[in-house]
Amino acid sequence: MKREPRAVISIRWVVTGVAVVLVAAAVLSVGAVAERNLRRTLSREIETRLVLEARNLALTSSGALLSEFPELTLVPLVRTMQEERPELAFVVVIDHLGRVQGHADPRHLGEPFTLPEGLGPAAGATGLKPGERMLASPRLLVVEAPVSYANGPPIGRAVVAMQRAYVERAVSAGRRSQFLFLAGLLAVAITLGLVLLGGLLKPVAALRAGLERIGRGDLDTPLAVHDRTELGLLAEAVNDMTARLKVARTESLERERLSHELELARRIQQRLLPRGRRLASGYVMVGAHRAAAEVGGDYYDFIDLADGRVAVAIADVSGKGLGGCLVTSMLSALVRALHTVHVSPAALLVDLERHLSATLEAGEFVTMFYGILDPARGRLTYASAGHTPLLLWRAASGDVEWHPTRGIPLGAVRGGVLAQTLEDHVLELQPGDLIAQFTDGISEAFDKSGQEAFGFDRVDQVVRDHAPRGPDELVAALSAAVAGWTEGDPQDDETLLVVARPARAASEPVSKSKPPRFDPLERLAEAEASGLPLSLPASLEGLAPLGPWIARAPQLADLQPSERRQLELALYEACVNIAEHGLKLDGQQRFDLWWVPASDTASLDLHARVRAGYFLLRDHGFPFSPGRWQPRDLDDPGSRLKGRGFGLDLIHLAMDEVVYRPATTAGNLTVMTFDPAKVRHAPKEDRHG
Amino acid sequence: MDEQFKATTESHGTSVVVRPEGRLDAKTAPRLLEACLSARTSGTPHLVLVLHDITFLSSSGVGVLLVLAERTKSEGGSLRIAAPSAAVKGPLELLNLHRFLTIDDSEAESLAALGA
Repeated sequence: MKREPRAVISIRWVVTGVAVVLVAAAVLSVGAVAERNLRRTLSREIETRLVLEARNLALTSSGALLSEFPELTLVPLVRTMQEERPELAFVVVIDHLGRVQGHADPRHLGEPFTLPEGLGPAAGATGLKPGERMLASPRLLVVEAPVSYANGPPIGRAVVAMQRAYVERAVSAGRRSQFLFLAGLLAVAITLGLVLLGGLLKPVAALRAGLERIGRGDLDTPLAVHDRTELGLLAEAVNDMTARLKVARTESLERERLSHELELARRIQQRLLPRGRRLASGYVMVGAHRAAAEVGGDYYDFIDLADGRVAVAIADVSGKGLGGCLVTSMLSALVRALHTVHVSPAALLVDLERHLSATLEAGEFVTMFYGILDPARGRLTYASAGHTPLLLWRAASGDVEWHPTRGIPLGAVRGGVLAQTLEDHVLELQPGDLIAQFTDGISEAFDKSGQEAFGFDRVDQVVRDHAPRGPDELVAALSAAVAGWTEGDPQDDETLLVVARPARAASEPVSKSKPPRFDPLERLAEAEASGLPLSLPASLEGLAPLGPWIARAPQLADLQPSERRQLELALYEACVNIAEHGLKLDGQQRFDLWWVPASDTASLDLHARVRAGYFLLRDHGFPFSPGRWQPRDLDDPGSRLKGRGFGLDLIHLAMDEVVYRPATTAGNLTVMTFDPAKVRHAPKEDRHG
Repeated sequence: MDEQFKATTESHGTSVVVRPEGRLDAKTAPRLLEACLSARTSGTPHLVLVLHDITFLSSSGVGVLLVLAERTKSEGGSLRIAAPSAAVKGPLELLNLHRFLTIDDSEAESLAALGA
């Protein structure tokens, strides 16, 4: 915004103008007074002189008036007087009869003398002797002095008149000199004023220049005004202000830089951290993250590996801010690069440390948990470098297990010591089980008073209370609990990872009569001893006896047709698998199937009894790799179909439990249980039932 | 929440004994590091850190302990942590670092071990 330049009236001229006016007024008033005095003085002087002249003339005329021919003396006398004194209007000597006896012009001799008109007694006439008179008119000043001889009566009069104009002229002359004096004074005053003011006001120019500089942002050059007037104080005050402004500006720039850095770090972190929840083979993985004001410390990620396995990583970098973020982003990149190289989590962590050590500063370290989840086996293999203990919630018992490790953080101790402290741990997850890993921003979250940390005990309690409702519920509950505990912004990044193995479908209650987990080899012995056998050839057409065998089998025979149909379908698919993949449809080869009903089931209903029993398949063909099979995850849009056959789905959906043990000494073994309660009955079937 | 950081230092033969007080967090940890590094001379390569009066140990504090351990070692000396408070033991044990830092129950023990 450009301001219009205002017409500036220089102080210099204002002050000078004022000074001039003052001086002129002073001088003029003084002059007026002086002039009056002068006039008075002059008038007095002239009057006095006139009086003296008149007296003098009177004295001089005395002798002449007594002589026979006075005019002989008086005329030249008067004439001389008037010639010498041009200001005299007239000079007359008069005898006792009032006749002119002395006059410059002889023609007036003998005439009676009359004074000019308009004369009146002069004001202020002092010092007049008896007989003397002073008269004045606007034009004239007249003094009469009596002429006397010895001490006798007057014998005549001497009259001297002067033009008053003379006085005026004298006064005027005085005034003229006064004007000159005034002009001189004014000239000096103006010059002095301008010079002095110039000197006084020079600092103002410097001040102005300095303030303009400050306005442009130059806070480093102090005003060099070493004046001892108020201007100097002003300059000092401005310098003080500038110094304080400079400090404030530096602080403000620093704050801006920090907040910019924080913003950068926050954005980087946003890009690195995965969002929301992930699904893999029915396992639900949820991550929750709350960044502290000073961000950049926590990292977590889920990475899909081959064969449906998923790597789960969570780390806490000790450095904060942009520096911490740098390590975090390196960590992310390194994990993604190295996860294909290492099957062992401990080995990966060791390798990570090797790559990170160049980036980590002295005293900087990273606590990290890295685990590989194998959904097919329900297994988590993990290693932890100084991270908070792994929490495992058992769905079956509702217990919380804490699994600490002995690993030290990455970068804590140089010299390859880490490897000695790390080892791979394996956890078997049961359906519904849930594991949680969190950074110490959660366990170390302090309450508002800063006295008490949230602590592992509280985490334990929240998990006990909320895990039964599922991973999303648990994450929400724990996040809310910590947020409520801290009542404000987190001191440290809070990261929480929960991985939950899918529970059984809701329609399947966990029943007490469920048989324990099978050991196929043990079961084989039992089946061979007491099971109902069926030997089948490895060909599709050779599987026909399956149906009738089921229809005649104890307990199975009592099932509803729909139930038997489902059972037959499942068993048929399993047999086809063996015949096709295991025995390559070599009709010469055979494999075995047993139905082993449970004993001690008198108190149970039919469904429970059937469920308590099991089927066992044994073949000597190529082993089927269960690692490639996963339950079809209908929720997971990215589920891969490669390696899965519809038959396998059927088997797993129809059968309750399927345990596969390939390549034992007795061949490939498959143990399956069937729960008829799971079968949905179509209305028509009941009618035909 | 911000306590002033205080530390006293004194020499015992070939070691320097440093006794910090209060919190060892991101703010105060660098000051402890500075105090320890400036207190040591070529004649005193050993450092005894008495952590009895530490009320809080953050990751920055842990970092400083690790740096001191490394530095003293590289200069032919050693770091011994004496009488750590519970606030110190907690994080160290959680990070499994208590096996890698030399910890004594008392200052006297540390000095005795160093033969000072």
